[in-house]
Amino acid sequence: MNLALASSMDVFIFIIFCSFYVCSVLWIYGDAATRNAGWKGVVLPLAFVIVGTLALINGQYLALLIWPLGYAVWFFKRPDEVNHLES
Amino acid sequence: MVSVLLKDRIVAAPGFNRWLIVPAALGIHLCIGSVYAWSLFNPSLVKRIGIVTSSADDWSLKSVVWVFTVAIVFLGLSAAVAGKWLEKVGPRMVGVVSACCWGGGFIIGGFGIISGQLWLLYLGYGVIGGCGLGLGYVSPVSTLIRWFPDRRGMATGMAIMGFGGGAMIAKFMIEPLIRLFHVPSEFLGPVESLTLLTDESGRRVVELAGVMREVVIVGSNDISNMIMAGSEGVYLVGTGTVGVAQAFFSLGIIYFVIMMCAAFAYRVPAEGWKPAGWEPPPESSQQGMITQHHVHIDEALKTPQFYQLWVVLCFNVTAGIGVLAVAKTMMKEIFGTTLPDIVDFGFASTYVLMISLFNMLGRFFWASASDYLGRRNTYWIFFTLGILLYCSIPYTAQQVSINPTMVWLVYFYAATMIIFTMYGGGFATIPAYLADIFGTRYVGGIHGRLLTAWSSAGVFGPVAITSLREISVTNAINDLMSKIEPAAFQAKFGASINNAEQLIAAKTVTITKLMEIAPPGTIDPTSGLYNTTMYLMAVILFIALIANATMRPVNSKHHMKN
Repeated sequence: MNLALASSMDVFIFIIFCSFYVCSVLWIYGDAATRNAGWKGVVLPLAFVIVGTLALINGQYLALLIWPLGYAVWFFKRPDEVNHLES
Repeated sequence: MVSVLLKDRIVAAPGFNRWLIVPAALGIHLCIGSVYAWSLFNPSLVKRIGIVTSSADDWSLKSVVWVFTVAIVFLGLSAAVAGKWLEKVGPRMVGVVSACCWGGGFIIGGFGIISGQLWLLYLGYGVIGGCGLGLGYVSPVSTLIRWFPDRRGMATGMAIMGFGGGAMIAKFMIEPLIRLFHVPSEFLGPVESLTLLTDESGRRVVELAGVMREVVIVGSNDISNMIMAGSEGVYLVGTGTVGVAQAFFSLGIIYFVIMMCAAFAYRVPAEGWKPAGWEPPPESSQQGMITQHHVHIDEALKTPQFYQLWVVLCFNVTAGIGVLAVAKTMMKEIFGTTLPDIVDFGFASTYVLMISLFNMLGRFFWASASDYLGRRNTYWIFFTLGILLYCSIPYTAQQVSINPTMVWLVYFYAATMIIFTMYGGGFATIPAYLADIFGTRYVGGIHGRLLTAWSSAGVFGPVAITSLREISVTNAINDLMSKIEPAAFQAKFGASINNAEQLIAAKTVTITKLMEIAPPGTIDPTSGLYNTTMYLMAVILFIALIANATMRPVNSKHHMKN
């Protein structure tokens, strides 16, 4: 990976940023599953992961732009109705 | 044929002794837990060509440490996916697939080592083996929670204790197997008896029968790092066998057989089964932190509690896993140079053994203790004590450089062992914490998804350790070279100090070798290489402490209605 981690502060930012990123993807995955989002629920989180990973490989700061963009796409595309999960 | 593996075929008959599940769970976890012994492969993998010491074309420590990281990443990913699948097919099927992946991963990885294809090692041990880890990990955990609803912490502690102890068992197989197959490279003689040259790429070469052949030099400081005892002097590169590939093949077969036997011993309790005389505790106990409701596996991902637990697990593991990945190297680098009479190859190997032992004991101890202390209080202890211990290690390293006495070694040993009990305890207590917060119905699947925190930590830990170590090593070498006479440098390495960059890249110049020609009184910088890392880990633990301290019961809107 082309990560320019030149100091402990860089490493700290990397850890915090990646944690936010993984949790964001998990949240979208859960949100998609509870809204019966169909193919969008599978494809969008997956695309989010792939694009984010590629961005990270090419320099972590580019991934900072992908993250809010992915969120915006999800909120625009997700179904409105929430499915109430029963046993 | 496959139907004998499915859940409905392994429902236990009335009167089945639930304690019989424990040896099966332990068997699987002991096998997959050998991943923690990865650092035992490192010294051999970085000498695949040089055999007695690293040659210029050998894999670097950084590149082989990442194999462990990939395995941990795929552990989390496969566990996250397998959580729902496990609920459907049952633990035996998952256990069998796990055995195939883990055993097969070793075999493929062995071919990668023999052929010198690092990607094949990553694919075999990292990707396929990592999937075997994840599948094997989740299968007994959720099964044991269902068998032991009265002692959730202890039950998960028993299973996950096996994972922590796997490296301890593996140590007694890995090193003997490597030594069994190890053939040292050809010894050419003492340094003084040969005319050594340094080529334009920084490699040391000698002329043999009119042909320039690459050699490696074993100095006095390298003797203790040799796989089998040998003499100081010059060894021919490209001769001998390091033995690690053959060890991979043997281990793959052994683990496959044991895991298959264990998988066939799994049984699941009948629907509605509970221990005789046991009733679930009222929800008002433990300040409402043990729910009687259930949260669906998908709905759990929309609760803040899931992400708080994600941070708790991830940052607790990041702090521990980064040290585990290079544990043996760290002990040798910090104390091996200052107390060489005590910290030799055998001592460092025993250190790995003790890490595994305390990691294992911590899993059972802390998880069982959490049944009485409460989960949140248990993690309070982990993080407050962990911060204090991580902050104290740089002071210990500094003191051992100035005054190399046993007391600092003992303190370092004790501090790291306590850290590893809490590292293991964090793993073992989390399934019970999940069951308390989200209910037991989907705890297996939710636990699988939470293991993405472990995967992430599998990246963060080594990134932190290797990045910060590289920065520290570069700074230390530059600092040492500024103190060394250019003539002494030329005599030692056969090249000008102006070519230092090439010599460092070819591993000809190291801190150890520079210390041999450093002016008297120069303090060895090796002991301070991990200071920044320790402070960073303490900061990370503080964030986890906040996440745990703010944990509250799940909002009732997330509960399942029926």
